[in-house]
Amino acid sequence: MIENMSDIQLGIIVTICGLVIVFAILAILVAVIGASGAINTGVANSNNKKEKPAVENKQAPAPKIVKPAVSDGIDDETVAVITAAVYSMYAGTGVTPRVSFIKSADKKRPAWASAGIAQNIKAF
Amino acid sequence: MLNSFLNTLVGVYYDSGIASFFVGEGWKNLVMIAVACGLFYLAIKKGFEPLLLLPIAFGMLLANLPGAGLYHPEIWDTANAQYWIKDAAGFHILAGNVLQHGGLLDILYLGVKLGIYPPLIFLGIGAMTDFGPLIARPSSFLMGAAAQLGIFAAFFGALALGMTGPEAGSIGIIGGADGPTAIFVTSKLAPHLLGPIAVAAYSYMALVPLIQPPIMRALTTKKERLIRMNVPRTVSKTEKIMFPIIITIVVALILPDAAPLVGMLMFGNLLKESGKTDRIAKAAQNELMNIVTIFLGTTVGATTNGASFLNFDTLKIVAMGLVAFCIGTAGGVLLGKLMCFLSGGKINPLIGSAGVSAVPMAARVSQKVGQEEDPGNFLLMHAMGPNVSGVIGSAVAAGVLIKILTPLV
Repeated sequence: MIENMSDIQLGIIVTICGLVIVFAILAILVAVIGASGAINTGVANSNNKKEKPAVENKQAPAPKIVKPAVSDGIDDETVAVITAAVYSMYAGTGVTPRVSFIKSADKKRPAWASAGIAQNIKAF
Repeated sequence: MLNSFLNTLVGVYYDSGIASFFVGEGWKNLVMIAVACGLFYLAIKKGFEPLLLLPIAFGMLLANLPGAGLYHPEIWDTANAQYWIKDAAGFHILAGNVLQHGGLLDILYLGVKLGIYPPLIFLGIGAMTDFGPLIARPSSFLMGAAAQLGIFAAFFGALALGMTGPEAGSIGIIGGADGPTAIFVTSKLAPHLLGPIAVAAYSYMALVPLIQPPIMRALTTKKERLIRMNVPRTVSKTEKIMFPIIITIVVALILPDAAPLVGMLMFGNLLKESGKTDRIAKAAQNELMNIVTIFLGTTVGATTNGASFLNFDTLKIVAMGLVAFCIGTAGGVLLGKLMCFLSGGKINPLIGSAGVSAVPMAARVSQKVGQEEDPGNFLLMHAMGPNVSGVIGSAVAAGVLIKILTPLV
């Protein structure tokens, strides 16, 4: 049928159909994504309400702080930074880490080389 | 002996590419080499989309060196029965024959003809894109839809200029401001126009900062340009993971022809957002994207031989491409004004122009024009919503054009 249309008819049909279909599909996406956002926000809000009492209970016992064993040559500031980094990695996971010891890394290999090796041999 | 020596030299000369410039339409190859050099200047010196324009220009150069044998236009002529068969579904390439007899660029060009490269580019784009601003404000989808008005206006205009339906569809898609989409549609509807359309599409994408601002200023008032928008809500990780899955299912079910582009775009995005596939997300946005960009650009450039590029159709493509961009910008801004009115002045209409999917250039233009009036007005993240929705919108428009116009090929 489209093969027998004149140029004007073809132009009108394609333009109208094209705009209607594009707007319709994107309007459907507005509705679907908007609904999914509203559901997700509602679920997140109800989870926050449930978690509040549990958080208060967890906060009651303060963790016992054990000073880590530190090898020679590492100052207190470095220990504090390393400890803070370890704690921030576990934040939100429910796990409370404990730094037992801090010692200097093998200085034979540069830190960047070690990082590159670690990334390349990391498992899938 | 002297005669043999001279005859040998003359023979070498007549077999060389230089002699070919003076035989028949060989002068067109010389002109195309000059055009390629002009594109080198634009890409390298002026920085016009160099990642694509440089490979396109070099492909153009390689294909117009006579006797190099890298690209054979006669292979891609559907009338050539050695390489094409026709059935009820249309023309199909005999890829095995191309692999046996084609040059390097002919073989690589199969990735364009079989519709492989553009979806892979979209995979990389999806892995680089943050859809957070769009998820936070889903109404931005409509601005992305309005900006596709340029595609259909240019389609109409191209028909009026005497192009066939499939050719007009390929020209119109330039208005989507999306290179891979333009190449995907053109390779299916009007492959003989692939070279000029690709050059026009990428050149206009680089000219977005010049084309859009006058239209944006003309269609908005100073009061509208001064509107500061509220900070969008925070989008959760779950929403960012659900988004690509939902989009793929909805779009592919309604319009299957858009599935290759939209599906790969969302696949790349899911690789990024899942957080579990970091290595392959990085490969998609780096190694894969770069390799496919090289192959796509070079082979598209190779299709620009003198016969296909140096004719009046190229001027029509350039003119209609500009029309498509301008009307697309206007469409997005006008819908932005409507949304501004309906929202009681909460939406700045300038972000509507970002619905043309030149990511992130169009969003930066919205930011820049807004800051001309109010240096403290930061529209960039608000404009990213319509900007990325334009990518989806142009892919949907591409699916519509392919669906409706393929029977006319």
